[in-house]
Amino acid sequence: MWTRIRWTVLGCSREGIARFMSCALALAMAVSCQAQSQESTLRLPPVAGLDEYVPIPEDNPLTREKIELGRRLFFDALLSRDRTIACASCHQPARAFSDSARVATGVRGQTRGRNVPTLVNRAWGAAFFWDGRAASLEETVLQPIQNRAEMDLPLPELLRRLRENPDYHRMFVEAFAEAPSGENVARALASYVRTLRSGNSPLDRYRAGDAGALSPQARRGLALFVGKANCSACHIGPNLTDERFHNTGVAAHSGDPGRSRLTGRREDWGAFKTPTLREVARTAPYMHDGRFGTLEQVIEFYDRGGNSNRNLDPELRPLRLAAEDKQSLLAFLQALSGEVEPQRTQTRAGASAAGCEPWSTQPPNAVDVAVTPSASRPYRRPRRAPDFIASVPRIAPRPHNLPASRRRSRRPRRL
Amino acid sequence: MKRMAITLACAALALAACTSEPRIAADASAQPVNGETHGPRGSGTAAPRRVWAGGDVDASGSPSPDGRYLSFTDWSTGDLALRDLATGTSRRLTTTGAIHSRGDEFADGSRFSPDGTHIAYVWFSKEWQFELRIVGIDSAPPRVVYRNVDVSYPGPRAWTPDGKWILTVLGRSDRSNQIALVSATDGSVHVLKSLDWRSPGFLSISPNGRWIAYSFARDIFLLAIDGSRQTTAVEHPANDFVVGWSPDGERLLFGSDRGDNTGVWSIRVVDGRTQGDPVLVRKDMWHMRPIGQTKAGALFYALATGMSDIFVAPMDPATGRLLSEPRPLSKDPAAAHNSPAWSPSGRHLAYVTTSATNSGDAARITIRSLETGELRELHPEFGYLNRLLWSHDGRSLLLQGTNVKGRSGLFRMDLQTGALTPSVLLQGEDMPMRSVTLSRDGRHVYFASADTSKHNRIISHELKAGDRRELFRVDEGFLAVAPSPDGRSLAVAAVDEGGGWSTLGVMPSDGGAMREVVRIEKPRAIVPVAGLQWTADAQHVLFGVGSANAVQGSEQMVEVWRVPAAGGELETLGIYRRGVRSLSLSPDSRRLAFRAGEYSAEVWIIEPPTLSPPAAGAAVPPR
Repeated sequence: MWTRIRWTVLGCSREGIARFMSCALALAMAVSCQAQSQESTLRLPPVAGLDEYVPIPEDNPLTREKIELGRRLFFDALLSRDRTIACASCHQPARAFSDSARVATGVRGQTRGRNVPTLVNRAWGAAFFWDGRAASLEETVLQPIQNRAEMDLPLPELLRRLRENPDYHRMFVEAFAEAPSGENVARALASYVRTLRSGNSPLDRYRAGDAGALSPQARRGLALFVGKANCSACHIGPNLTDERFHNTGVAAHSGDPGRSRLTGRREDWGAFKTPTLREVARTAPYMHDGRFGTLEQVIEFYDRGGNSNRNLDPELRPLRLAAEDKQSLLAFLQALSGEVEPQRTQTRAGASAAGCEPWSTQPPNAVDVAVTPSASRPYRRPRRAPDFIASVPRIAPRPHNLPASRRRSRRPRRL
Repeated sequence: MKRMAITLACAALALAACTSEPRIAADASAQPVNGETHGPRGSGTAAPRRVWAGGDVDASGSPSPDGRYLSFTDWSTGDLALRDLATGTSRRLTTTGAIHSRGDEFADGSRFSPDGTHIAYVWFSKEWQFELRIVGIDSAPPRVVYRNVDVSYPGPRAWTPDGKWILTVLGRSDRSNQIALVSATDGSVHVLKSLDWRSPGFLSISPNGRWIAYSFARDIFLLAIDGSRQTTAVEHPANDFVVGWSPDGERLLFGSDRGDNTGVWSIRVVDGRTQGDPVLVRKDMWHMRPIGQTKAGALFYALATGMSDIFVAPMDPATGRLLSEPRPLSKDPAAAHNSPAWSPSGRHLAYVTTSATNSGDAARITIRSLETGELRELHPEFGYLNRLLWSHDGRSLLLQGTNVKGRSGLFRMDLQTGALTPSVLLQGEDMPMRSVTLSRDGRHVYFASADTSKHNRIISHELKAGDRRELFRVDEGFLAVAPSPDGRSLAVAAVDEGGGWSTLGVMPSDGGAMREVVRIEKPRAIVPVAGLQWTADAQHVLFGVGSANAVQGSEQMVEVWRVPAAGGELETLGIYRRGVRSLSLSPDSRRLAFRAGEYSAEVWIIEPPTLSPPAAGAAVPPR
């Protein structure tokens, strides 16, 4: 076989040989790059409290090159029309990738009426933005860049700037083996955002078996969180969010339609996505419009059962928490701050570079809650009422085609 | 130079041929073991065969790798036990089970190790905590592998083929569930994937140890054992659940109700991805519940037999005598019925119905007209529905149980809109509600509940304001409660945990001393799960009496009695049936409804050849 190849090569002209060598070399380089990409496909190291399975799209596996490119883009004000705002201008590392403003501020000081959500642990997200208008990180990351009220940079202009920049051109080729494109900008940014994680909080350590990781007051707060306060009806799992949409009445007075703007469904009016409570002590202000500046205000809001409106989620109801309950809940919420990765970031103009510090818990101060007795009332026989079953669908009796030997019953659960 | 170019190209091609290894070592040596040497009718038979039947069947365990043994919970004591399927004998592996006596301790959810020498199981300890334990089948003392105050239930589902890790579903304090690997050596944990309030169905590890197949939300997923990847294996509107794997690991077996009823299907899997269309390999499997597979691939599964129905008997309200024998309402062998509740008008009876033809179906509510026999159905989005009450104004039903988010309590379902709202949510330290009843005016709910010190209490909960009061307490024992029609009194039954004594008394509904009406000593006792019922004139109380040795068992023989609320002679109603629960008198006391029936189960086995896809054109065999 080697002799046949040799003769075939020797039989070509000099130009043919040169063409062959060029193709072979190009093929070798391309395969080598592909092999390098495959070899450098990353698995993020586990973080205490977070799932080891990280949902990564098959068409956008993590690589070091993509993450580095995404990180650089994230901190680059080049991505805004007037080159004053980067992603990191609002999603600040020192604030767990959110900011302290009530609502996001874009170029020319424009605002959109929505609070900046944290980006930690969005790798596990199922819906993005407060109204869930994006279903993936790749779908999400380009929207603020192009939004006129945020970074206001159309995609063609963004790509022109990136292509004219030799560094970016080189980084895109390294990451994607091609020049910058909208799809690859999205993939790079999404890859970087996937590395932003928060874990190893006191709650994580407690859940891993370290009973002393939570103070007694925070433990009482946890019991309230999953019990009487009913917070876990929506804030559930490692990221303390069900990734679903609920009307808590925050929009009852502002008139923000929330999710219904996308779905057009009346029952979605005023519903917003449950945010994660990771790092919640560091991501004030709160709610989709940033109306609450402190966690105490948030607790008061839920204690009174939210704001009444026609779509209020049935999970919301007055809680009648005692003052000590509220303090315990507060202590628990403060125990949700852990270690945010990556710890250190290089910066471009307009972004901060502070590292992240864990939040300390409050000292214990548990007080039991008293049960209030009710006053007795005289008995009054109720009037007889009709059975309101007109709306219940009728069914036909089912045919009994099972032999007697196959009759079944279900064993009731013991606990 | 030419040679160099060729060499360069070949080297580059070689460079590209690289693969990654999973972080946890897979068992590449798993090969199907040929045949099984034990079984009632010999090995290798193609037809499914029943290997265990009877009232003592418990299908919470798994088969041994060679198929000879089945682990299970002996509910007479709560101990973990081993059933020898060849000889039909059983022996206990633990000795500290304590069911129906002071301080419940019991085993649940057991799984054999790949070498067949150990069993991982859940143990409910005296500290009221579920913990994951391992015991050798040579009766060596069990050891605790994993215990965590934040984990309410660490349920073992399988072992990795190397025997080092136990695939476990962790139920967390926020009622979420996690798929995790727990080290059999030191109890260290890898949490692979978190789910929401819904628990995954059956989980099975592929024979090569690389993939976890699990059912969730009616679909099936494949999760890499090292958590690196997940793919969707089966996505279909039908209810699909994992059954197991072919012995060579090339095919995933799953159950599905996409046909007339549940069948077993097979689909090819390559490197964690399904290929081609699923193929039906066995039909008419009804509500089979997979238990596990042997190393050779034989599939063990459970079928629940027996039936429970709602019985109704006409009564003379003056004498309390039945005017005719109780008659079953449904007579439907494909469903189980429970918890009858009369409408305020007495014209309709609502009850909980559970389908027996599909293990994935949630319970539904059936409303039957006693006059016309007309049936209506409700399908609430609910987790576990235990008891049904009809609101005093007839506009809603109260559902007691656990909702889809794992919250236990009482939930109101509007009959006109179907909307479900929480009415009474149990706080974290409460045990599940028992004996929940509603006052006739609809203002108060009464129920029995245990506190963190394991004391049983009668609680009064005012629905509007949410005020809660403890009205009665016992240090140990079981309680049942029923408010009188005029709302002024409560009938309370208290039963010693060991069944040594039981008493029925009457007390004021806003608290106070209890006046004992009747006391029953061993060998008989009041059965709390049968419930208590006042007659419409508030003169008598109906209750159930059974054996003192099984006061909490719902499957024992129960006799229904009535006693004057002021005290006096006991009278039998002539009802003596197995599994009597939820006594319910119509508002005019002219009809008595109750649930009766017995649970039993069978364990069956299907050999691997009959789980292979049929040849083209061949008929698919039924169960």
